[in-house]
Amino acid sequence: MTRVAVLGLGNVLRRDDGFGPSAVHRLERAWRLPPEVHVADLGTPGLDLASYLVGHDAVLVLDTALGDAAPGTLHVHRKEALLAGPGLDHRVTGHEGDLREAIAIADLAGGAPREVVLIGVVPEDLGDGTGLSPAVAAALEPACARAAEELRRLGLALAPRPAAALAGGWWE
Amino acid sequence: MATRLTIDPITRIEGHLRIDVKVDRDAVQDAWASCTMWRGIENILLGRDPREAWIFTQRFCGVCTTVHAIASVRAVEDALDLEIPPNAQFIRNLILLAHGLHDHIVHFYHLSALDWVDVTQVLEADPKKASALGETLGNWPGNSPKALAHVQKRVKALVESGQLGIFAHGYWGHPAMKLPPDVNLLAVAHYLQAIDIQRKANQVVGILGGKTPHIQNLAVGGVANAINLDSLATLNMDRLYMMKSLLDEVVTFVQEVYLPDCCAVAAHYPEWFGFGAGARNYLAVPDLPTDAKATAFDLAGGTIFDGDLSTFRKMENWKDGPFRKHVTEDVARAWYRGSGPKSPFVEDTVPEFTDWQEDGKYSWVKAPRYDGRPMEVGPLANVLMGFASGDPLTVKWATKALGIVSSLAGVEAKPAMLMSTLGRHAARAVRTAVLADLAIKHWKLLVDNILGGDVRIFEPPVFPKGEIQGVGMHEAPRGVLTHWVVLENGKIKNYQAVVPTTWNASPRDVDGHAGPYEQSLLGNPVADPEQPLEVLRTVHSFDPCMACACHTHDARGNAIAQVKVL
Repeated sequence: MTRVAVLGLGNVLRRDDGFGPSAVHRLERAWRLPPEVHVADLGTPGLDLASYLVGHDAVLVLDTALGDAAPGTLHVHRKEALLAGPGLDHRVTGHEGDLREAIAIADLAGGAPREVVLIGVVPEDLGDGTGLSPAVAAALEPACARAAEELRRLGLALAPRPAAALAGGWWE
Repeated sequence: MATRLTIDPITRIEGHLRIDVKVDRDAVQDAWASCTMWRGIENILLGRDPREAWIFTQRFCGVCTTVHAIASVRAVEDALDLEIPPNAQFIRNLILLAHGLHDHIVHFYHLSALDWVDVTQVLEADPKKASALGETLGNWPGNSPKALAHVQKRVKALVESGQLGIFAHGYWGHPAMKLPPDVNLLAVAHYLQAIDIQRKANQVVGILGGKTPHIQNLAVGGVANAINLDSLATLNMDRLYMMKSLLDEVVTFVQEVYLPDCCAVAAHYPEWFGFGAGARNYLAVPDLPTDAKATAFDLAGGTIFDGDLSTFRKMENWKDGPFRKHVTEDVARAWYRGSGPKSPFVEDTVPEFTDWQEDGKYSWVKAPRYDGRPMEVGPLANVLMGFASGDPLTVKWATKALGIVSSLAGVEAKPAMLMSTLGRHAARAVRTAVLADLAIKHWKLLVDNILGGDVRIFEPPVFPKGEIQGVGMHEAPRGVLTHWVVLENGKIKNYQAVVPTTWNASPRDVDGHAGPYEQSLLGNPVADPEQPLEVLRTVHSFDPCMACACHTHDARGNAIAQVKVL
């Protein structure tokens, strides 16, 4: 059995940073997922993220990803590319853990997922408040479709739910 | 000539701690702590129903979600003078205890140990000798020669893969690294084992809270954990014993591994008991109530001034008058409208941004003060209150910790040495060992109360017309957390969270008093301004938490931290 986690990262009280949690809520409502898929809205866990990676064969991460492209643009990065990228040179507070460091810690502990796929959206507004900007909200559907495609590629069977099942989170 | 140094972890992402220091003759002469993110998140609560505030407040911070949920319900209950059932008190306490155990383990091993531990030295270690050393420190199966050899192999593979650089806070080969290889190996082995142990502590939070992060079981007036020993769907004996076995394992790790590790590391850096004292005024609030009315507590609160335990004033309970009167926030040097001290009940949060100005405003953090004084909060303050009030558990574990340091370092370690960079780590380990004992105690309190036939979990709140106000207090892993709420006709009129890192990372105030981080850095050594490990050691000893309210992955490939030497 392939154990898969789908993790939403971000703060729902900071506008577009709530993309990850919003996306995993939508994914659960849009699809009937098999029991071996563990879906979680992790908020902003810092390096605690490492312990949510351990014990899974594959992890999909839905998050915001800064980029020069237009807001709402989706970026997909895989484990190897993430690990090869640059990271923090100095940690000042304890909670600047990034995804790549969490992967590295899980790797060292011997429990890292073989596959990690980051599906990230370029944010527009990271100010205080709830609700996504229109460009980022429009990316929810394609991000979920992409996540569903990755799950199918991993050999998991998904069944669509009726459109009426789609609803927002408590913060909306 | 003095060198000016800015440690700014983030150049493109907002919301981090920036430290500026003036270095001369290899030591810090002056320091400024600044937060680069506007923090007005409380404004989102204005006009909302106070019964749902906790659901929002636990999203203030990504790592310490639970603590903001508890402080919020306590604030509203305080305003209503609402007494909650004993089961609710104990269930909340168990959640706080399990969260605290998890949080302190993560801080020591995953967020700060690499300031002192050199991973590359692991390759030089002898697993058999390291195991023998481990045996003298504590009883733990993870110290076997086989387990340690396995860790050494993994580290070797990591070093050979060239991915060691991913560990952002590693200062491999820095001259300030002094641990012998065998201690490095033990520490790295426990770093890896701690991932599993902290998860077990978190599972207890999940069992009681419904899920973690972001617990679901709170309510203004109690908890939503239905208790029925005969039902499979509620809190029953099976679940209680599942928690007990998880806690037992965590307790063993804390008392046989974490506390001895911390002391063994400390014994190799005795000079760091001489740096980083800082403000030497300490503040803690009482927590872990042992009765429904919250008149008796297992953690002592109060104030200590000028590093003198004889000045201890005990806070008997959460209604303490002087605390409410003396706590203020000052924005003279912070990027908000206004200047002098104001009570959190009446203050506002209106941004007024200037550039970073050495003689003007330079931080998004307000400056909390107690009777006009900067106060250090956190495990050190908590442990000093325990000492001053004669708490037997604090005395027991502090004596044990100081004993290990004394025997390994060959010097006599005294309680006053806790007021230092390294002492903060030792105090955190002592506090964690105390919390471990208390987790078992509060588990028993809950079980005994339920077996006595009490299954009450909730007292419905009734909101009066007119204006009322309350303070919710929690002695969180990073120290004093208070939520200050003003309610009008059952709706939130004002809400202010005064968080631990605000106390510790505060900028100067209207009178020019520097904050605890700033004071703690004075005289701190800096051998190489390009590699300011020593500055980070002192800042990390406080366990700062500032960045977590906003998390964004940077896909553009920018270096996202830098040190500027001017």
